[in-house]
Amino acid sequence: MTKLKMKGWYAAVAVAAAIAAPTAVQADTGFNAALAAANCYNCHGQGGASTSKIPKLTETTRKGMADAMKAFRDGTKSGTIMNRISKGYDDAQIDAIAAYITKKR
Amino acid sequence: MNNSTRREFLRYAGAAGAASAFAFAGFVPPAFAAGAKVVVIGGGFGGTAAARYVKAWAPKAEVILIEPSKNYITCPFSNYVLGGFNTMDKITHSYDGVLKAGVKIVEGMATGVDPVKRTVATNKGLTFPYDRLIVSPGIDFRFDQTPGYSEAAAEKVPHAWKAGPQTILLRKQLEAMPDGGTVVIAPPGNPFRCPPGPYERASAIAWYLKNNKPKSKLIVVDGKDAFSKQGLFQEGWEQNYKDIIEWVPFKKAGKLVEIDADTRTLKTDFESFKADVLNFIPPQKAGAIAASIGLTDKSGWCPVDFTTMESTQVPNVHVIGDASIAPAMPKSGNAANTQGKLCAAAVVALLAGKKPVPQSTSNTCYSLITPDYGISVTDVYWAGEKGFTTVKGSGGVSPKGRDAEFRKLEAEYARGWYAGIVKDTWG
Repeated sequence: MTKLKMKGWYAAVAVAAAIAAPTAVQADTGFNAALAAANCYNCHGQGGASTSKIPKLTETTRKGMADAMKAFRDGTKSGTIMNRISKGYDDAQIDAIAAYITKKR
Repeated sequence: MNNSTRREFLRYAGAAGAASAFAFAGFVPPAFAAGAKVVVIGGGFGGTAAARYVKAWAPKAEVILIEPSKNYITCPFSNYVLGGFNTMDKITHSYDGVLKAGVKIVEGMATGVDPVKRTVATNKGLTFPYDRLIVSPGIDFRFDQTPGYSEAAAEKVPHAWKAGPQTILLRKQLEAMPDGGTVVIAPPGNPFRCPPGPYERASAIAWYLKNNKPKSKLIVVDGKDAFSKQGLFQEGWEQNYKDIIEWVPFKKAGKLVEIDADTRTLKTDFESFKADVLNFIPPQKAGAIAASIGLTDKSGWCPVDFTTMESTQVPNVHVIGDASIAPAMPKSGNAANTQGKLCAAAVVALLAGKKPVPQSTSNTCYSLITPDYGISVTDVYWAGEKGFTTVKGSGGVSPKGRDAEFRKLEAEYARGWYAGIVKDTWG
């Protein structure tokens, strides 16, 4: 592959990105919801399938999860640690995380 | 880079570029051409998570994890073995789940890296080429910093700061100690592995003493004047171990001068502490392989770029976990795991010819003061130029002054965290 053709590849990717952007979640900042979700699994279990007293993330809807996170963040729902964690994310990031974790259901 | 390597690299970039058109929203794994090689050195919380998540997010990449041990024994929850309310088998984990996830495991010790040829050699004479190398070597001890202390002295004065035989040795010493004895724990100054660890250990051992040898004392002779979750630990000690635990700050005892392993005596500038069981936690540095690859700076730790965890000293080599310099993240198993994922995402992007952008990451550390009294610290960070910055208003420690029900819930969640992160990493 020549350098010129290589540039062509990047151009194609850039065009594709531009087309994808309006529907993408947080495409402007490139927030990686899969990465953020993977960090949730440290406590909530693989894929959110907790086997402990920590609530499962596999039994809630996308909206239910996002609403709970926002309520923890805004202090209308009390918890032990989730109030502190949820304050680390804005609405769009919470929506993206909830969408990612619940996308297979 | 030779021609064939360059051609291969372009092939990954091209194939992944095509896939990435569909990948922006949901981070669909890019369809790599077969052959992208990622080698990971070290099968702890960081390396194992990195290996698994590279494989999960780039299924066609070949991911090789080099680790000498058949099983991994976690430092987290090893303090509870010392306290008598956990067992070694519960903190020992096989790599079966990692194998099932598609990671190839090489049982051996990485002995050298050629960053120009991009190869890793092992003690068994094997050589593995890589496109990206992830190094997660944990810590090694600076045995040369403390007069009287050495690897041999650690057989009498255990550090137990790598879980395994040292944990068992310290536990046996505690069991053999008569009621009315004195346990001394001597933590180092910053930075070191697991900032709340020495105080969680003091709590767990105090639990054992209170229930089995109630006339005994535990003295923490500290190498510093403040410590992680200090207010919460001291609140918990006041409630549970008022007559057992005494904390001596650096400003009171002064600098550590000498350890006499035979008499289990610790001498500082201003005092001398004679112990029946002496637990010295030595100063630390990045695991030895890091220095041999040229990853460490004068501090003994490894400077990295915070978006990719790539070494600022050796290109195409990433360093995660305790060995890395990653302020303000602590050197914890959880931080190693989340750095492993952050690094995995960056490596997957780089192999696809994309420029990684800063991402959010997090850390959560629970400590038990008693089996029913848990406390936590957590933070959400963003990778920046100079380190990881906490999102304003987020994170922090458990509230002080809460009731027994709250502490019990956090104790349950501590056990839940352990089950969760172990499953995420090794299960």
